[in-house]
Amino acid sequence: MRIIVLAANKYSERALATIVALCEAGHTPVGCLCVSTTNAFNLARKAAQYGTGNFLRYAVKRLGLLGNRTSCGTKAENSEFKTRVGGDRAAPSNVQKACQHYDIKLHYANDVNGDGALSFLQEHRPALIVYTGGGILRRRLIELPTLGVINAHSGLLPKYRGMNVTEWALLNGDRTGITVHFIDPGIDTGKILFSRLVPITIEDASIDMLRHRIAGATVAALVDAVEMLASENAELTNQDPADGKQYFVMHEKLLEVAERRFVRMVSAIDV
Amino acid sequence: MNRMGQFRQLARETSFLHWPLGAVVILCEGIRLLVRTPATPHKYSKVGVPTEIALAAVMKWIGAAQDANSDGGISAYFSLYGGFGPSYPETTGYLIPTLINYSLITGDRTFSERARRAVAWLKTLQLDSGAFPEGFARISDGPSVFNTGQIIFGLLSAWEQTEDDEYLQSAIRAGKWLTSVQSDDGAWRQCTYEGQSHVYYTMVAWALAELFKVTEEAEFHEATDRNIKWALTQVKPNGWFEGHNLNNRPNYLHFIAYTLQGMLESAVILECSKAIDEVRVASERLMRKFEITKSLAGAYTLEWKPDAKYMCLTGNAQMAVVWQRLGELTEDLRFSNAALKMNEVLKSKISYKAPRGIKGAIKGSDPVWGRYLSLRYPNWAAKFTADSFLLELRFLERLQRHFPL
Repeated sequence: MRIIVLAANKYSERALATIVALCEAGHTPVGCLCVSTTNAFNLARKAAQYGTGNFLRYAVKRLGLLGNRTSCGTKAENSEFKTRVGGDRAAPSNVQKACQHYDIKLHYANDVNGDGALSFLQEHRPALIVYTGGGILRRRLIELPTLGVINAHSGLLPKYRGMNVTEWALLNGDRTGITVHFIDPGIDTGKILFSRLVPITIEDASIDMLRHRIAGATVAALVDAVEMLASENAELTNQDPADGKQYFVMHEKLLEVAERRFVRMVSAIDV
Repeated sequence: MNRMGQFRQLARETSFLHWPLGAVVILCEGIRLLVRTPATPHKYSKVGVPTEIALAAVMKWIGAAQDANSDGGISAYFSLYGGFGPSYPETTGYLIPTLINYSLITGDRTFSERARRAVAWLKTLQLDSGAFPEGFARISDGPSVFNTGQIIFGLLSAWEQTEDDEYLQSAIRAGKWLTSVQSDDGAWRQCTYEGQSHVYYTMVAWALAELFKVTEEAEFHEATDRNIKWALTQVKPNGWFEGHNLNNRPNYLHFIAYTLQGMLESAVILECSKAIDEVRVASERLMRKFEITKSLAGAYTLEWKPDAKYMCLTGNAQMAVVWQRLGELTEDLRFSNAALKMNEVLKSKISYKAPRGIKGAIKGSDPVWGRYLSLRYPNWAAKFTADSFLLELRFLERLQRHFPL
């Protein structure tokens, strides 16, 4: 099956882990479409989004300008991704190096919905696009691959659509998990392939740790989804948007409450 | 007030002494607009100024607006061309509960004293019919349905605080006048703005509902119920409430929010779930718009399309109040989340170090030359902002009790 991976940027840990996992499972993508990180507009947008100071600190860290590479050569902050990428010096450290290592065609685009991106996709005729980031997709990209575009959402659909869904589920005292679904023009409303619970464990010291585990689970889930689709073993479930709600970025004050609720939930787990 | 009246009012208020300040403010706003960064999700989800500090600044401004006139009423606004304006009965009326709530929460009794002075002034304005006059103090003696409704809030609040029966009797007389001029279908058409019905008069219905809560008089319940039923007939399939009837003016967010708040609070008292649901649908629409675009327009068309390039900060504050109330009633914390973010927007619009009149004030429009209350800082913007901050503190205190540190 011809697969293309969409990556939010060259240093995306999620994209890197997904590419490596797909290749190790025998589903080497034919291409990778990556949003350009050095595009001036995107850089300015990131600086405005996170604040110049935070942005510069992040850039220094990611580029390893102060010699802060890890001993095994990877810069994965999420240990779940690091586990999937591999810890030896030979392991690729970013999307570009992974594409070189596995001989995957890599294309940079300023806009994942732009003409340049579309041309690259049309040239490689994917049956499936695996989304790991890159922004909102427009209809003409969604409709391009024969099977569609799949995404691993960090929440249980249809109940929790949108942003910060792990935190929202915790705030509501609800279960946490992931859902692999096809992307359609709505927000997390496409047909569902499957959902998996990722319950909190006694080892979860914070919501961050849980979020990292969930992110790691999305990589494994995407590989499983590809295998299902390749073997034509997938059963799709339609969503009714009325069965859930769209959630948005959580305010800091509610995040604090979610954290407190989380601590209570963890301490209530029987050892 | 007709156009001639507005022009005379403007001429009365203009003072060349304030023009240099106005010029500086406008220049600063212009520069800010040129260098502004795009709105991002993370900006509004982080705490800027602590809410307690922002609230204190806004309340201090309200105090200054009261001290600007000697009658005890609260100045309608501070304008960049004329300073503090005349006292405004309508908004003084519904500012009284805000003053009292703030006094109770903070223990600052000076604000209770301010409320007492404000209600004493209002009582001097009541007409023989029980109604209160339209417009600014002493400019018109014609009775006004909307103003009478809003002043009832102040009278009831003062009565609850002081147990002085005079205030309750004054409120009852006002309520009876309102029911006497209501049309059979539940709308008000006499003694209204430009002699028309307005769906945002659900705020008047709310006042009558509060009066019913206290007196249990069926007359007030029935009048509220008739108005809410009439307002429900104005709802279009897309959730828009028709009938604002602002004539050549856009449907300012201020009036949309009035409609929603009046309907919501009336429906809570009357236990009308259909009305609460209609408010929820419209409020969720606006919540999504705010969450996605990080901003609400100053006005909307009846297809919910933005109809202004400026923000109506009063409307923003009112929507934050409505969202917080919906969060309390429906336990859908997305509303509370949006309100917390809107409060960050409001806090970012307050000048904490500025000349008197602007320090702690909330603009009518952002930028300040926008069409809604152009070049002015209205007291009702401060009132709803303070209410939203007070609701936030109450919400967080409740969460703290449920999930202590």
